[in-house]
Amino acid sequence: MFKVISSSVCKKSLTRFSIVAQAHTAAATPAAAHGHHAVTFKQADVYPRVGNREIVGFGRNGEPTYFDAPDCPCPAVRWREETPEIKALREKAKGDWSNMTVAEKKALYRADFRSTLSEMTAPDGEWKFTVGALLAAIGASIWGYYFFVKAIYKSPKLESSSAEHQARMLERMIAEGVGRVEGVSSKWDYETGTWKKN
Amino acid sequence: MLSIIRGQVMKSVSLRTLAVRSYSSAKESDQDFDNRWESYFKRPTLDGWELRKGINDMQGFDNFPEPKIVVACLEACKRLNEPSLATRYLEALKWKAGKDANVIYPWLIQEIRPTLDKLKIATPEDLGFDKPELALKSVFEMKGPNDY
Repeated sequence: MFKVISSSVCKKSLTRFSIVAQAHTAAATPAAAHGHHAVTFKQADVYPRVGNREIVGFGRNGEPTYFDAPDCPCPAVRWREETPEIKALREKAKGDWSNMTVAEKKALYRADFRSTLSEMTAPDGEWKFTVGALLAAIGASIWGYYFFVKAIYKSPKLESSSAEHQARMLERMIAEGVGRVEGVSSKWDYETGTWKKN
Repeated sequence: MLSIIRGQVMKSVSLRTLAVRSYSSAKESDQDFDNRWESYFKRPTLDGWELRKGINDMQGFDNFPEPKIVVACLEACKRLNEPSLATRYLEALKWKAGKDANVIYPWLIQEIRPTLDKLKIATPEDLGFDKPELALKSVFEMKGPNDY
């Protein structure tokens, strides 16, 4: 009856939430009942998509995701996963920074962050796509209107919208005396059979 | 004599008024703001999470931080062994200066130069990050079809 969509993704998120829930319940209940004080769980189990990256901060909303934004320069995770080379650089950064070469500083920066702020704010030409899409939409609208006028709105006009029919209707309204106080018949002179002159 | 008494009375009255008013609408002076953030970054137990949160929050305020706050922040970066974060914050400050960056940013660098030299912090210019390094060139700077 129900289809299981993407079971591995579901399983991962379920694992994450059940582990977090376990951690909360374990923290709430007395430690003696469990026989241990600290609740330990692996980051990879709780945040499987972060991988080996270190969660270093709050980011914009507390979710451990990476993004580049000039108004929020410190994302919640580091950009690259930890490798032995990067770990060696971090050890070196614990000492005097004058011992680090420019290349090492740049490598460490690129391990922490994906792009510099000048790369973020560099023109990427996206305005051309936006203007092009806008013009395409306007063009499609004009051609669509033309198509509807020519192909769809071609039903025959009603007989009642012809000038002859309207003239007959006016004649009949005058004969029946429609609006004889202030309406159309009040402007008709029944004695002479013409329109009144003011 | 009279003026001294009056001065004391007025002082106590004005202080009381201030206290009553600040109960409903506390307004932090600029000096208090600067001191608060300087002491935030100077706290010895500050960790990397709080350092990043402080930088992000500072970046969201409608002001430009005083050099003494920036110095405190850079010293915190040094304390927590984060050289790339120090460079990143200087970049962020350059962006925050907006269209006046060519005036404000050199002034800031000049103000914090002793700290930069003392802690050997690399400015974005030192690392070549003032120009886009990995981004595509602007089409107006391309010299030909294969120059990108």
